[in-house]
Amino acid sequence: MTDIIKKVWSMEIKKKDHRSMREKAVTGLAVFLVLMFLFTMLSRAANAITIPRVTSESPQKRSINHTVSVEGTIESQDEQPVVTVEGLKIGAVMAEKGKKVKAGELLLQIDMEYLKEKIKELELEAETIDLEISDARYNQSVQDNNRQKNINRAVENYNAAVDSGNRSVDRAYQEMINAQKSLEDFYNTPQTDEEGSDSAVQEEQLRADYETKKSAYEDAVAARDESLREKNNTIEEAQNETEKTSTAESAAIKKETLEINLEKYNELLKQEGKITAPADGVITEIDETVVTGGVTPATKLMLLSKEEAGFRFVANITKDEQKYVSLGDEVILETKDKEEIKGLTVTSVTKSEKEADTYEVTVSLNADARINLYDSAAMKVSGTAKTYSTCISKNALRKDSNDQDYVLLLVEKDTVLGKQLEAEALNVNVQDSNDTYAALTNGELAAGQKIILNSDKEVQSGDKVRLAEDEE
Amino acid sequence: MKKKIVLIILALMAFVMCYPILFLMTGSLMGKQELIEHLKPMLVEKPEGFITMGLLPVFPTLKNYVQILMDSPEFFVMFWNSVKITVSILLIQLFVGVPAAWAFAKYDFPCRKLLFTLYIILMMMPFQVTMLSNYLVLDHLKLVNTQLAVILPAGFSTFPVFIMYRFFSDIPKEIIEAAQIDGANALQVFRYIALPGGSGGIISAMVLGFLEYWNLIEQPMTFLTDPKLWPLSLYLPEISAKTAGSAFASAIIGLIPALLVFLAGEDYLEKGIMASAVKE
Repeated sequence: MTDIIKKVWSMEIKKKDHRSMREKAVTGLAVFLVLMFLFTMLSRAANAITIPRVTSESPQKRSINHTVSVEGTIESQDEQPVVTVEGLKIGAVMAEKGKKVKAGELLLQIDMEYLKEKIKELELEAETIDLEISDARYNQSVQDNNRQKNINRAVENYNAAVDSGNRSVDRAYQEMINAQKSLEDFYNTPQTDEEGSDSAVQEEQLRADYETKKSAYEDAVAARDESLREKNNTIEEAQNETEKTSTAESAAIKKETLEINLEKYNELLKQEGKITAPADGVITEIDETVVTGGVTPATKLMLLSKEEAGFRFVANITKDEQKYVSLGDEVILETKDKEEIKGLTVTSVTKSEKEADTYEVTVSLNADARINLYDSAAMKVSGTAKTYSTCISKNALRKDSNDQDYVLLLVEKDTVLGKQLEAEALNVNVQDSNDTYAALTNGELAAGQKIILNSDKEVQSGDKVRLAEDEE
Repeated sequence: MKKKIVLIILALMAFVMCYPILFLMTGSLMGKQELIEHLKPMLVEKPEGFITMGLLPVFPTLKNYVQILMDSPEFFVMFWNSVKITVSILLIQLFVGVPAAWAFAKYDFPCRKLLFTLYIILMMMPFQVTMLSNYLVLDHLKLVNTQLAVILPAGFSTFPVFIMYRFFSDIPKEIIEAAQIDGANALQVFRYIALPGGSGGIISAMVLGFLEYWNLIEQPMTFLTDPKLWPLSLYLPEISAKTAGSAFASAIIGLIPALLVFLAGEDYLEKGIMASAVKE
C-alpha cells in the first residue's frame, strides 16, 4: 500500500531538482504575456498615430453660386488736367501728389519776370509779323496786276488771231466755191463731137483747180484752229501764272497763334502768374518737369481728380471669372477697413489692354462713399445660382497625374483589426464648380456615400484612414 | 569508442531536428534584401534552384521584430486570439475532462467500457475524418465563423480524458476506501484524493493540450472565415518578399510561449506521453 502511494507521488520525484526551471518557465511565460500586452498597446498606439485622420462629407443637393472675389483699387471717376502755356519758367510748386485741394487753391507760381519778358518778346514778334504781312500783301498786289495785264494781252492776241484766221478761211472758201461753180457750168454746157478731146482736157483742168481750192480751204481752216488753240493756251497760261505766295497767310496764322498765346500770357499776367485748382479734388499726378526753376511743359502740368465726380473701383479678372461677371451685376465692395459698401453694380466689363486674357471691371461709386482715392478694396460679385443634386466640397475633389478629377470614397473593410475605413479612388466628372463646391454628374455618387474631405496626412487610394470626428 | 559514435550520430540527428528553429532564428534576423536572395526560388513565378539559408545572417537586424512588435497590431489580435482559444479549450477540458476521466477510472456505471471504447475510437480519428460532421453540427448550431467553433470541439476532446484516465487509474482503490471510511463524500474524494493524485496527469494533459491547440491550423481554417478571429498560426498564411522577415519573426515570437509551457511541464509531458502510449 505504502509502495503504491510512493509510486503515485514518485511522479514528482524530480520536482525538487526541476522546480527552479519550471518556476522560471512559468515566470517567463507571465513576463512574456505582460510584454505582449504592452506591445499590443504600443503597436495600436503607433498604428493610431500613423493612420491618417480624415474628415468626411456626403454629396448634397446644393446651389452653385459663382462669387467672384477680386482685389482692386479706387480711382477717380473724372480726372482733369491742369495746363498752362508752354515754356514758362516755374517760380514755385505748391501742389503735392495725393493732396486734397479746393477750387482756386494755388497750385503753381509762374516766374513773373520771365513772364513779362516773354510777353514783351511776343509783342515784338507780333509787330514783326505785322510788317511781314504788309510786305507780303504789297508784293501780292503787284503780282496780281502783272498777271491781269498778261491775260488781257493774250486775249487781245486771241481775238486778232480769230479775225485774221476767219478772213483767210472766208477767202479760201470763196475761191473753192468759184472753182466748183466753173466745174458745174462746164458739165451743164452741151459738148459737140469736135470739141470732145478739148473738153476732156478742160474738164480735167477745172477739176484739178477745184481740188486745189478745196485743199487750200481746208488748210486755211486748220491753220485758223491751230492758231486759236495756241492763243487760247497763252490765255490759260497767263491766268495760271499766279504765284502762290502763302507768306502773308502763314504770317497771319502765326500772328493769330501768337496772339492766342499772348492772350494767355496776359491772362496769366493778370492772375499774377498764379495757376490755381479748377475744382475741388485730389492731385493725382504731377508731371516730372514741374519743379521749381523748371519750364512748363506742352502737355499737362498735373492731373486733378474732381471730388464731386465720385470714384470708381477698378479690378482685373481672369477670362474664367469674366463668365460670371456681367454688366449690372450686384457688387459688394469691402474697403481696407473691412467696411462693406452694398447696393453697387458692375458699370463695365472690358478686355484689358495691358494683359492678355484679362478683363477690367469697373464699379462706380458716389462722391460721398466713405473711401479714399487709391485705397485698395475687394469686390464680391455673385452671379445667378444653379442647383445640382450631387455637390461636394471643392476640397474633396482631387486631380490625378492625367488631370482626371477623382474623389476618395470612405469604404468600410473587414480587417484583422475589425471594421476599418479605407480610401478608395473614384473618377468623377465635374459639371460646374465655384471656389467652395463642385457639382458632379448625376449618378456618380450615391446620396449617403461618404467621401474624404480633409486629412492630416496625404491619403491615397487603398490607404487605411480613420475619421477625425470619431475621436472628438 | 562505440559510445562516441552513437553520440556523434545523436548529435547530428539533434542538429537536423533543431535546424528548422535555427533557420527561423537566422531568417528573423536578416534584412529584406538578404532574405529575398535566400528565398528567391520561393518568391518568383518560375523558380530556379532551391531555397538556401545561411547559418548566420550577414547583416543582422532586429527590424523584423520591431516591425512585428511595434507596427503590426494585426499580429497581436491573432496572438490574443490564440491565447483566448487555447486557454478556453484548456479550461473546458479541466472542468469537463478531469471529472470525466475520474469517473471512467473509478466509477462503475452501465456501458462504461463501451463509452470508453467510443472515446478511444474518437481519439484515434484524425480531424479530417470528423471535419465534415463537425462542420454540419456547428453550422446547425450557428457557431461557424465564431471562435466557439474551434473551442467547443477541442474542449470536449477525448484525448485529455484518456491521458488523465491513465493517471487516475493508478490511484489505489484503498486510499479512496480509507477516505470514504473516514467520512469523505464523492466530491471530497475527488478534491482531496483524485486531484492531488492525478495532478501529474492533469498537468501533462494541459501541457500536451496547450502545445496542440496553440498550433491549431486546420480547425480555424475550416471553421473561421473572418480573419479577425484567426489564431496566430494563421498569421501571414502567404509569404511574399515584403512579409518574409515578419513571418520569420512572428514564428519565433509564436514559438516562445510553447517553449515556456514545454519547459514548465517537461516532466509531466514525458509521463503524459508515456501514459498515452500504454494500451488499455
